[in-house]
Amino acid sequence: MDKKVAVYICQGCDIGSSLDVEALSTVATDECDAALCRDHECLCGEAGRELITQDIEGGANAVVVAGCSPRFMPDAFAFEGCQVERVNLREHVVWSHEPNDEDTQMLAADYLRMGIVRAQKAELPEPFEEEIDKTILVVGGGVTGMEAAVNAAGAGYDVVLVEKEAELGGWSAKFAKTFPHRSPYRDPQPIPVADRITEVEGHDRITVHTGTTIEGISGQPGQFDVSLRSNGTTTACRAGAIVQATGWKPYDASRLDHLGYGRCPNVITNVQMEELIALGEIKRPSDGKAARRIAFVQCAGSRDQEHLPYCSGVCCRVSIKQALLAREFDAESEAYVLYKDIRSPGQYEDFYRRAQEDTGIFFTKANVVGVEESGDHNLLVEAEDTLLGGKIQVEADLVVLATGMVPVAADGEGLRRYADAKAVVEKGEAGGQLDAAKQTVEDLAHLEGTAILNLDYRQGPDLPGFKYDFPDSHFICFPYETRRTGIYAAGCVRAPNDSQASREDGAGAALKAIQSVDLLSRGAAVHPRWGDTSYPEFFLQRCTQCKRCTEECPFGTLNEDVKGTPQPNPTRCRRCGICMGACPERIISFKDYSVEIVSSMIKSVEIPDEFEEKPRLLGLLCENDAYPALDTAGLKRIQHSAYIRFIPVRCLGSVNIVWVADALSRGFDGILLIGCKSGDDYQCHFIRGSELMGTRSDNIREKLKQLALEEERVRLEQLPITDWDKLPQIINEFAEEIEEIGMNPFKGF
Amino acid sequence: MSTNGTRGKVVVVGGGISGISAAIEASEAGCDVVLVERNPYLGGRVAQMNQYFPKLCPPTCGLEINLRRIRTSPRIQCLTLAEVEKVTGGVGAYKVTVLQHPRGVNDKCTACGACVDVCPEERGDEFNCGMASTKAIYLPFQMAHPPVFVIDANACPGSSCGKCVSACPYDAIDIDMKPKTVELDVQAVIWATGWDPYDARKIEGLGFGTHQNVITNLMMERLASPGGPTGGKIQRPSDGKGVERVAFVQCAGSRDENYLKHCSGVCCLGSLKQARYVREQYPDAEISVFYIDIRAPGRLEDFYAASQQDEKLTLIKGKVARISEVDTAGNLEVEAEDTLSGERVTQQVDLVVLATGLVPAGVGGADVQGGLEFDEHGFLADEQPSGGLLAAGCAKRPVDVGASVRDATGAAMKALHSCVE
Amino acid sequence: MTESLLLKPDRKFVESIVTSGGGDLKKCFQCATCSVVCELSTSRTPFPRKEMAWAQWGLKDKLFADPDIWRCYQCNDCSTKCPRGARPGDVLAAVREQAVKHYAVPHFLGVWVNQIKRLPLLILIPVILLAVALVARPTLEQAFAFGPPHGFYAEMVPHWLLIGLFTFFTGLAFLGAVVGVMRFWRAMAKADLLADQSDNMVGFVPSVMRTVQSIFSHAKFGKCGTEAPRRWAHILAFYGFLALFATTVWAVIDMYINPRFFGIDSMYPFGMMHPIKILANVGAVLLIVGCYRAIRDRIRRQAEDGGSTSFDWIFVWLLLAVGVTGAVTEILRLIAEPTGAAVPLYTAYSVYFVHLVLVFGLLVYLPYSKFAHIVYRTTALVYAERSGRTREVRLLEAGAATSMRVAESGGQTVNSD
Repeated sequence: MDKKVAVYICQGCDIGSSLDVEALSTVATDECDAALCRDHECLCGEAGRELITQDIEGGANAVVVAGCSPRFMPDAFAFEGCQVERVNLREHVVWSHEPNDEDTQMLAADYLRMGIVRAQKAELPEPFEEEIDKTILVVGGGVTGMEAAVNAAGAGYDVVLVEKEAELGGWSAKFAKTFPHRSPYRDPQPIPVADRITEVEGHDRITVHTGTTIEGISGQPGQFDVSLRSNGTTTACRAGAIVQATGWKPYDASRLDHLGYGRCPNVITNVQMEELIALGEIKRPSDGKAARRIAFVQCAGSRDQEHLPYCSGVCCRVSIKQALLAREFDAESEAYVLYKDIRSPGQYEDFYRRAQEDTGIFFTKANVVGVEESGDHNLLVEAEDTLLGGKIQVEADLVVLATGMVPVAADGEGLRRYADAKAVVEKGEAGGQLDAAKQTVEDLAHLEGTAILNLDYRQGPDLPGFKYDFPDSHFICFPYETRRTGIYAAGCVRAPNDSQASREDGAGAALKAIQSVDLLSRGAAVHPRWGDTSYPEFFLQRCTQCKRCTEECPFGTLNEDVKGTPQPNPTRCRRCGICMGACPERIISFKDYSVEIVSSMIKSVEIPDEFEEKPRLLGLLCENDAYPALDTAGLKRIQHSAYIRFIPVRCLGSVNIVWVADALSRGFDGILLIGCKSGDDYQCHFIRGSELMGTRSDNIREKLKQLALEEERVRLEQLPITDWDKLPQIINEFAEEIEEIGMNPFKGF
Repeated sequence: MSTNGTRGKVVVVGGGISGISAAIEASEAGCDVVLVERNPYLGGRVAQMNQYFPKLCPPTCGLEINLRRIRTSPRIQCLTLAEVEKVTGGVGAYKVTVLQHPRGVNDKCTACGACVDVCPEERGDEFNCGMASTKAIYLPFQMAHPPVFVIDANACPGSSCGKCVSACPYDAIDIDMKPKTVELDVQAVIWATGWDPYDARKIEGLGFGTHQNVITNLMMERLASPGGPTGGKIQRPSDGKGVERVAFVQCAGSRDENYLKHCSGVCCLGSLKQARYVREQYPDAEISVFYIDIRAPGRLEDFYAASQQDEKLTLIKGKVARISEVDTAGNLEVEAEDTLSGERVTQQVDLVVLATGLVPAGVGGADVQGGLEFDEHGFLADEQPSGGLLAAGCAKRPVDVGASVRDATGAAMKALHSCVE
Repeated sequence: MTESLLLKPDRKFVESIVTSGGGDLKKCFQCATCSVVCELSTSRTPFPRKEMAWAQWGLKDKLFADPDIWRCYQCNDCSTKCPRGARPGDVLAAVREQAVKHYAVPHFLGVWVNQIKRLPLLILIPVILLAVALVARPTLEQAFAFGPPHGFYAEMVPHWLLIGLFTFFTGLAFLGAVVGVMRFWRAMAKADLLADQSDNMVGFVPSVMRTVQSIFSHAKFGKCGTEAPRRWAHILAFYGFLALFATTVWAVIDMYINPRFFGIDSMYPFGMMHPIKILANVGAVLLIVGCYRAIRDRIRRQAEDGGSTSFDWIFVWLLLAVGVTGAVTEILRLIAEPTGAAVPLYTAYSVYFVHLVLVFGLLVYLPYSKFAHIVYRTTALVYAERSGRTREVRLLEAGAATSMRVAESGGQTVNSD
């Protein structure tokens, strides 16, 4: 369909008074062949919008609005069924540059050119049409899983609940009581898990599969083909989204020899203590005598680099609960709680106070160094750094080790590396590769058979493990963003939690699952590009099976056929464009975002010849953080060099090095790439974008060397959104550096 | 229940991270949402933070994404400077009365700032904890949403001045704007009213309010923020000097029957994080953290462990019970017992940061039919008398950002049920 | 301390503290606010935080060997500022009561003296002793050829008998106290963590001097914020008792020492204007007023937050009673002596008898009652001075690893405790 591009230049907010709008109009119409160009003193006002609406009725189908940043007035410039490009003349031009200055004018003109080119090249995305199944698959039937199931079902969605144990309920069903979840936060209370189980089993929208594991899951969100295995037989079902609530397992206490576990019969874990409590009396394993002196050793194997470096958050409250119950059973018994720090956050301070009031419960901070037997299987707990003055020993009949929680998760990426390495070993290819593979197989052997979801994903059969194998990603702002679209981890598999937090988590994950299937049914993306209906299209005839796209996608979107040709799964995709940036053949593109579109934008910039002493810099910046930062700098009227031309990108990972080549050959003197922080504490919304750009820009520098160009001409910066005050400095410093280096010799070729 | 049509309508009270999350999640699940915020901007307390622990990343980063979702969402309506007056009805059919205070500026505002240049009046800037001032017409902070200026009626002389009115090219200023009442028919109400910092002046012996160089943790966030009163430079209020010795006082008023009985759960990490701010700017500064118990649940323990590697950071198990000014220069002396050595420590420092706790903000004057249930600390109970009234985030329990977001998402899920019913 | 201490958590002891005024003991979560707000606590061995920990675990041996429990005057600054409402001030008082019982010789008296139910028996003992003495009086008089008694009350109980009886039993009590004090001192020395730091040691005599000075000046009471009024009550009772004790001793000297050994005639009975008499009467007034104020103060505190036990009550009432009966005895003498009539005479005698019984109780039961604080507190304070733990040392944490000590001037030292 042929484009009729209409351009509108707003005069408001100092634009009219700082730029020669007449000249800009000529650029739009004469130079860029825009169908028409109008200006108005306040486009966002009713009159201004009316102007645009009329032209659209008159046949304009692509509108370029040159005014404020697209982050402002989104509603004012949204026109149904019409493509809109915003050119940021306010924050990025007049508010951050010398008014009525030749360079400022050139800058504005270039931004206008780029905007118009984009309007001409880009198309309105058409959402893909796929048959979407809205069933929610919940893996794990503990409190979290049941909560997720009940909530999804309650909102009118069919749920398939899979539990590997014979019964629903998980740990909570095994424990007699829990610490209080409501005011007054003083006494242990029963867990209402039985009612939940009945509710789940009785719900007509929930299908429960107990004693069942997942044999495999193929396909993509909205179209997951799940095969379930239950005592020998396999059943198939379809699901749209998955909630993984596979919970936790206790840390392996047999590694806690120094605390007597395994050596001394009367040293048990807090989970074993729960079993004793369930029996109603605390008996010593060694002789069945009543345990009257019970020592609780907190952080047993937790907060310990040798074992679990993290804190499981619940053990303090669990021990307090167990101490109270033990005292309830036997008024003559005593409990000694030896802690590093008592962690009873929020209202649980009341629960701690309650336990303190009991004259039979003794607390002290202590660093327990060992547990020894002292005859008749009694125990001697040795500790230092106590509040009682130096080292102490406490005699006890029973020692309870407060061991931590380990997520029941499988390291998807590890499993994939393991599988690949095994394949290599089987093929028996010669050379170092084989040795490396053997090593990998050896190192990762412990992963054998740990897979849970058994996803048919090229990047691995399970969610990628984040730190300590907790499979989440942006755990502060977007805690449900796992790295696999439509699969949400909840409860103790995502992070150590108490049962109340787990329930809340289950409900939250259920909502995310519901959202994902609803969005998919409209061909729209989920967070962070919520509602985006564009999707990557592959021109596979030109594919060279380099596999970069499959490898680099942070979301495991692409599978490969035997030859290594990518197999797109649009509903797994988050639309970051990293595959597009990765592809050396430029065969991946979105309707409104492609290598070609950006290349033409770059080429549309007017490059003064070298004798004009006006260098040109290209800035490719992340639209999520760096772009708003530049807006804010403008809002603060902080000036920056007029030599740079910025193009926002979905993610720095979507930058294809062809753009750099194009820019240099076009005569740009330097290229500034601005993305988000990478590394362990990455801030990239697409996890690996700026990290990948890092490796790519290394290749770029190589290329520069080959072209006998200074590698300083390309700079990569990582910038948090709040550094709007530093961004102009970065730009100016880069501009100065380039001026020192001198003009790009390829100018004018 | 078509997904393109609406499922129903929900009011979210509070535009902090919990409220924003609840609103977005509910809207993206097909509900229409009205977000009611008492401030003239969204973001609540996190907007005042410099960085989040443990990643030391700016809240604005996540907020920007969320605000973009709000800006572009056809389902979310934001009412700022607004508070809930009345809630009647029951599950699935509530009538909510919202009072919206006059902003003095309408939607025509383009945030060009022409008004600020001409405004003659100044006001204390509570966003910066009073450590700075703004004009009577102002933008709360650089990335405020909505990006619309606001007039502080208490500071503005009114139409008698009117300089801004004539300066505004877009006729966006309406000094005589009247408060208006909005009636909403909704299926559920999510209370995400968050928290206020505990008033440190109430705490005996710690000298806040009398000793200039004793500040609160929230003030520290503002001092460290690029958008803060000092442009992000951590310095002493008394003389603007840099700091060489800083003491962080944990449980300032918290876990204390005389003041705030509960533990706020986030102050330990907050202080360890702020210690990093100090370290960032002053590589040689001596930092001490006085604590009762360090509470770093989950993987936050890593952050604590990393802090312990800092050789110029001392952790002292003992509560500071006395802070005195030792000279006219405003230098301070903190006293505590190091309970592990059993000796009393007296320390001279340049700056003291009080880790003050989170006080549940409550629901203001809202008159709710059938009432709301609070615990003895003033937090909203998990289950409310009326099933469609839901609590989320710090209104319910003092928690960090991640937990607030999860809780808010869960609350949105439950709100969906009221819509379905 | 390198070798580790084998804890013997003693719930019974914890409960005894809880029932004798330290009811909130267990609430303590060791924040040590108390050790900082306490004006008497010093940097090297601050209290009462560590005492709270020991008491929570029932580590009585550590507590009984701890001079710091006696350095507390229960002003309750710590109790009002405690974030947990654990009332360390009251806990320490309860611990002191247990300590007195612990060191009591014979032990049973330590228990009896503070039990209301034993009160009748405890009163009966002196009654019987006096009665026996009176019955035996004629025989003894002949046996030892004592001269005729002169003085109003001497007609009833002659001085030689009075002095003999009281000296004997008070002497026994005194021996008991001496043994207790010695055990206490040894315990302190054994348990003292600072003992090795000889550089802090102070000579015995100066230690005593400092202690006496601080006791007479009531300097430490002065530092206490929350309950300053108690200081005045104590000053009055303290000096009142001192005056009466001194005059009594002088009377003995006047009657028996001076005439025999220095050939000075006894001036007894002293006239109303005689300085000794004046001192005695002033002393009586001070004692009565002091006790009255103390009781009033306790009743007020009782109403507010409990805290007072029979240990406290028995003692303070006894002291008041001694003062009052003493005064009444004197007044009755002034009335009865001139007339010589029977009724006033026997009233006077019976009041005097009661007075004697009470004085017996006060003096003989001293090492077992709250009155014992005279000996134990003094001992503890002397020890504290001597071991140097009262020396104020400021720890200036020069950051992470290094903590440098800065001792302050000697003068400062003295005043600091």
